Amino acid sequence: MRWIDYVAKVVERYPDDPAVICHGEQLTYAHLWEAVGKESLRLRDIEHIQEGQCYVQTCTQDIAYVVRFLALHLIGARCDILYTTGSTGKPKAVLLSDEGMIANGENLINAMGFHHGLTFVICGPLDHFGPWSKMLPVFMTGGTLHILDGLKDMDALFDALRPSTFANVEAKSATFLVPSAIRMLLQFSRERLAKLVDCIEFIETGAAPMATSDMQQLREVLPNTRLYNTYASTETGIVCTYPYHLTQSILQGCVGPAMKHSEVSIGPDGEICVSGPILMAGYLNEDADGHFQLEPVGKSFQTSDLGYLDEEGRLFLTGRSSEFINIGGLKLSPVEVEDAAMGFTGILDCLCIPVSHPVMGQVPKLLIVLQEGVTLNKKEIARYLIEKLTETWKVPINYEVVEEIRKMPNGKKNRKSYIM
Amino acid sequence: MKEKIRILLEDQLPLVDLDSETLYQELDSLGVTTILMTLSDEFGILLDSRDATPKNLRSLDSLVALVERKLAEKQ
Repeated sequence: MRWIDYVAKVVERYPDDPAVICHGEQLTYAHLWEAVGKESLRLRDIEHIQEGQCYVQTCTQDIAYVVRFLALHLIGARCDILYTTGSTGKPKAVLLSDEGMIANGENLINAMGFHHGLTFVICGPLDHFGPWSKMLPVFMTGGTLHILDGLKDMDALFDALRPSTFANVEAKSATFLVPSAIRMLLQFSRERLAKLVDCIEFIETGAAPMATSDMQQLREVLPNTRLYNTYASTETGIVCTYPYHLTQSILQGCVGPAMKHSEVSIGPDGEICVSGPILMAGYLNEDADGHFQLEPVGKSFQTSDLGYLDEEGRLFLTGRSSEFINIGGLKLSPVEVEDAAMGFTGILDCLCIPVSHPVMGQVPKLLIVLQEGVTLNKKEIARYLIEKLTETWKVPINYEVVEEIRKMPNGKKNRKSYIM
Repeated sequence: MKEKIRILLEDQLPLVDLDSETLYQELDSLGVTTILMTLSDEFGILLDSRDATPKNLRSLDSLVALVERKLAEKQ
């Protein structure tokens, strides 16, 4: 049974229930399926997409994306391709398998209780695994996916989280929020959040470490809401989750036990290894002719995250062995910023490092060695970098002129000496 | 006050054109949060997400008006 077959069954069972909401538009499962059918014909006949073909779909935060996503699955195209931050500064294409989608969907359904009638609010970008993966359990159970354009418009978020009524039943809501978004809500919307005390069934967080104090505060504001801290990545899938509403004291760094379709082990250097059907199919490498070659994942995936398992089998995260900067759940390779900055006239050398931020956790800072006679113009450099990096969250907020960038004996930049 | 706010925000949001009359459109959620944090810290005023409206965040002048209103409410 393919993942799309689960969706087809839901359509048959709940044709008149709302499937997806975005920008004030709403489609029932029957209407969604009709649009999916039309789109699959168009993709086959006009774009000549075939079963088994790898197809990179541009992500748009709207219903059209959902329709195309389901239509590609109906055709049997291999369209579940997400790009992750590569350590070299170049994004890597990750291909997910159909088996992995079912396993990840079931992991979320079993662990958090996705069900028919639940409205799940997506506030993060759908081209990132955290928000994207929620389409799986929602459409497998007959829930409603409510897509928002980020968290800039807080009124839209609170409207979406309020219960809606269909089939004379009051539908509760749930959402996925990165720790920085939760901190933002606690800081600037605590009272509004508290008014939703009986409306939000659960909130999942992940993608970045969450402070125990924030977890505690969220529990106090929403005492009737189930709260989960999840460990997942594009490569591994949804691995573990820690229901921190259940335990008396909150365990710092805990992400809970492995889920139904996941296995976790710790390598000799303390690195977390994940196995099971949730894993990606592999990395897709594009050759010179634009053809994709699959580099299969193997039976186990080494994550670059460090941690340990306690006697109850719960995973605890202790750090990361890679150099990524985690900006409110979005991972940035500092090399990508440095490569871009080196093209700016007057910069002789540079180093991008993380600095702490009260809401986002970390933000990038750029240390710069300037040519003699050149002065720092932060605005000009930032504007140059946005042209190269294209996404604002990647552009450093802080800049500092230094005499030189410290190097190791092998000539590489001594990044660690700046991150203590 | 306007120049003080400009200097504070220019430092925190180097990509944003603070002279724009469509400032809200230029901001993402981090930008909105940064403005709320910076102004509440600097002026000792209470701001919440209801204040982050397109009207209040339309321009530097509308930010000044927001701060003045909150300061007056404080007294």
